[in-house]
Formats: sequence, structure tokens, C-alpha cells
Amino acid sequence: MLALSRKLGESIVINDDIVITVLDISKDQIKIGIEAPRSIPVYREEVYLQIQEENKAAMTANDKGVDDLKKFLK
Amino acid sequence: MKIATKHFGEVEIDESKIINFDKGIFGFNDEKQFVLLYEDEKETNGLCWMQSMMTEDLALPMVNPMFWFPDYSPEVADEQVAKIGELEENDLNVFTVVVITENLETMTTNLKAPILVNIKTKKGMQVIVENKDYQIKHNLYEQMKSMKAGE
Repeated sequence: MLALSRKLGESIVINDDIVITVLDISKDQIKIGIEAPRSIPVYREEVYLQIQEENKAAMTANDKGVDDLKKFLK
Repeated sequence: MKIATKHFGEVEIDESKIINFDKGIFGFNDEKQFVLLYEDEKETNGLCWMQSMMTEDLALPMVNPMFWFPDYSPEVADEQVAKIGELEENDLNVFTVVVITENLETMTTNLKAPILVNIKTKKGMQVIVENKDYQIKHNLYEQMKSMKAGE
């Protein structure tokens, strides 16, 4: 992983069209500003990972649950 | 063409029904083609399976959130949705993925990351919506029960 040191207010430019700026620094948290084209999705990692896990959980649908659901929907 | 499916055995698929997901879906980035298989195509409230063309064992159960959550209005940047082609109102199908548990009462659906399908271009994508109050695990059973009670 590339590691760059930045001070408050300084930025990193990625690929000509993405700018990441350190907006605020406190004891154990920093606030990051991201300027990117709207076509580029930007996610918090934990949300992204949770949705991956959710798709995987959906894939292992419980057989009894599926039958019960079909009956319930009739 | 015939494909092996997880829940319907071997199924004859009309190639025009194949939906292309250029980026796959979350957790399955290499799965680029799916087909929608309905338990009962006439029922708008029913269960639908998004079956992978490539992997027999990969089929995600989904529901139509517009039926079960009449107020559902996912917010996504136009520039993102543009990736599945220009959309007319009737060309967009929205689905939410369901986690079906052994006990139906704990069944949930993911309102935070719906599947969007443009039925004209045959392109689909899964997006994370901007709506802050939409949950990844929204209890679906309670919602279905209250909707059925209101019928």
C-alpha cells in the first residue's frame, strides 16, 4: 500500500479527477473530503463489506424458509 | 440454451432474457450474467430468483420492493444509473435481495443495496443508495404481514 503523509488541508490527487482532502483532524478521527465524478461510487468500507456478506447470506437461502415463504405468499 | 439452476433444475433460457452485470454484484464481481426466474411470473408480490448463468449454485432470492414497500424511493446519482443505459420509467425494474432464514420471522431484505435492471438494454447493477435510513437488514416478514393485513 502506498502511504503518503498529509497535513490538515492538504490533498491527494488520484487519476486527474479524484481529489482527497484532509478536512479535520481530532484525537482518533479524521474527516476526509472526496471530490470525484458522480459516476464513481464512494463507499464506507464497512458498509461495502456488509453488503458483500449479505449477498453471500442470501445465496444460502434456507430450504424450509423458502417453502414457508412460498406458502405465506399464496 | 439450457442451463442448470439451483432451484428449478435444468431450464431452457431464451438468450434475450440474459441480464448483463458488467461489474457483477457485491461479493460476486466475476458473475457477469444472470437471468431472472420467477416462482410465478404473474404475481407481482412473489419471489424471484436471480440465477447466475455461470454458477449453478448461485441464485439470489429477491422481491419487488415497490410492492412491499410502497414508499420505497432509492436515491442514486443519475451518473451511476447511466451505466445500465438510458432509462425510461417503464424500463427500470428494481429488486431487493432477501435473506431467507429457517424462521420466516427473521427474514430480512436489503433496502440499502437494490438490484437495478434496465429491461431494454438488458443491463443490471447493484447499487448502494444514498438514503441514510435504509437498512441492509430490514425485517421483511413484519412488513409482509402488515401489508397482507391491509389488503
